Amino acid sequence: MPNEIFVIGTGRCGSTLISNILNHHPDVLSLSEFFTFVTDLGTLIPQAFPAIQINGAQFWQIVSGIYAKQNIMLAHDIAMKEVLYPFKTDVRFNASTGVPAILQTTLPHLTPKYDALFDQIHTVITARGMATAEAHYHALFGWLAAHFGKSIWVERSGGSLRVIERLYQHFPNAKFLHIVRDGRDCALSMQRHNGFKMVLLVFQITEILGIDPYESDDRSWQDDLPDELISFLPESFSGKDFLAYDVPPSLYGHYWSGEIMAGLDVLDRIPAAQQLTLQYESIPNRHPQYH
Amino acid sequence: MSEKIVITGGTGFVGTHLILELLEQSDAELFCLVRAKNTSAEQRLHQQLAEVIQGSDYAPELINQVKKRCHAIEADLQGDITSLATFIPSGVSQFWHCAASLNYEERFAAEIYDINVEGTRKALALARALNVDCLNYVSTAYVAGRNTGVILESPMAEVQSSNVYESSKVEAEQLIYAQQDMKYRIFRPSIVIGHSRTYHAINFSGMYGFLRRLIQFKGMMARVQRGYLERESIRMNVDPDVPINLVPVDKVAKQAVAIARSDSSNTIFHLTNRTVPTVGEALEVLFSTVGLPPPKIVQDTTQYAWIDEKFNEK
Repeated sequence: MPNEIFVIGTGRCGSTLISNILNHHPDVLSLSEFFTFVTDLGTLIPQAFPAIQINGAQFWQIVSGIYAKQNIMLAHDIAMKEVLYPFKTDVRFNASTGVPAILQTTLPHLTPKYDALFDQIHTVITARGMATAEAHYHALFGWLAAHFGKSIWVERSGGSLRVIERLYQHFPNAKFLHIVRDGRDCALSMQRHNGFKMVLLVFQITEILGIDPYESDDRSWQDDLPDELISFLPESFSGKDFLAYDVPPSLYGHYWSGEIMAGLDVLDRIPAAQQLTLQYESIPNRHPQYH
Repeated sequence: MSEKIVITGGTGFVGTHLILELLEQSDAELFCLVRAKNTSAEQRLHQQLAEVIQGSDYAPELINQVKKRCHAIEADLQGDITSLATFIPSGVSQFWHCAASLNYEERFAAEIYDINVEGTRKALALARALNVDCLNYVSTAYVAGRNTGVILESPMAEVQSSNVYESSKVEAEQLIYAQQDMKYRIFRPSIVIGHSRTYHAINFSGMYGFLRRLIQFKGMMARVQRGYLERESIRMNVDPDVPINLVPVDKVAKQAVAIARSDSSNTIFHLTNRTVPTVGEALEVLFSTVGLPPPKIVQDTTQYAWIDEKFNEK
């Protein structure tokens, strides 16, 4: 069984840098942004970790789902720069068809033959019987590690502190590398990031409507939406308004604080031997692209 | 032969209570103009009235009077209602116009104007066609807009409205003053809240709209930073000692019907509360209701953090 490592953080904390460094290690399989997209930017966390046993086909639906939020961003040309799949040119999956979660970044990060790998995984996973999500995830990551001849896999998703409770529950023996960056810098960096903007917009709309508008058609409380949020409902989405909408850094600051506090609560329960905290600022020769 | 009354907005917050008061205080037959939604107009009207009877302190037997004396006529104020005169028996003495849009967001401006102003114009036309003696119009104390000081029970002249809802109600009142075909009474309730004893309410307008937004704001912040709002008070720049006029819906209905049954001439009535809390007291209760500490009152907005600005922008 391969060694299991999660790189976790608040998002915009420098974990991508770590992921890219680790990708060069001959023994490491770098799984990038897997849980970002499988949870549709962290908004469908319970759905990605079902409490009941599911079969391989159902698990495949989770990892290969074409999720609404990440794909509306592709359709309106406001995709996060982490998306590696060539959705503007590929004929199989593109902005019109939507791109499966595992293909947005994770597979193109591993190989240029991502479409073929996608089909191989499909065959392997759908052949599986009933099992817990935990068993399916172990099987998937283990198969990928074996496929690439690696003895360690490292999963890293931006803002994964939000899912650390589930990660620890499903991977109790994994090691957790926590990257911490000054909250003010994270907040400013989040402000320039379309993914975090999308998440905070969805939070606001969901609280007003009482439902996630990307997962439900119920618009009973639509009249409560302030004018400035109407453009971010899926049926009236405007990429132009999205780019023009300014989420103040203070809200990202609150978000960073909330993630850190909730994440540290879980890290407190993880044995010291299974965790390491690194400060982003202490990593030498940081490349400007990660600022 | 019993009196006949026509009423619009009979499924609304004030409208339902007016109907129940009319049933209690008179033996009139009521013809209610109601939109059909998922159910027929009659079913919708009777279901809504049944809910209000249950939530208020009316005798449960009043539902029998509803079934006997409340007739629903399917109508939509945004469509043609004048032609409905043919479905209503002659001899209507009073017309109650309660239907209104309570939205105020700018994007609803056309709809608000259509319902509140054009709807009132159509209601007047229908009342005229029915040859009614008197039109009772449920307006709002918010026609005063940003005016301060003593607001008289007289037509609003120069008003600076805060939003399209307020300006639409001012314009609707003006349509009523301008007509000379029938007597009129204009009722201006202040902030209508739930039943005085049971606290029952059926919508999220007015104070309940504020409460709902408070819950939404708390929920949004819980998603962003759980527990923050429970620890840190929101700052508000308000005068905590100013009275806020909240009036229970049953009191509004009782007073309005009692006035309408008197021999009053063309008049405007402020249906407000003599005993009112202060803004500070009301805010403390509302915040505590949703599990938040009371807001911190500040002297000016320069003391606002971002979160205070975000909260107070509504």
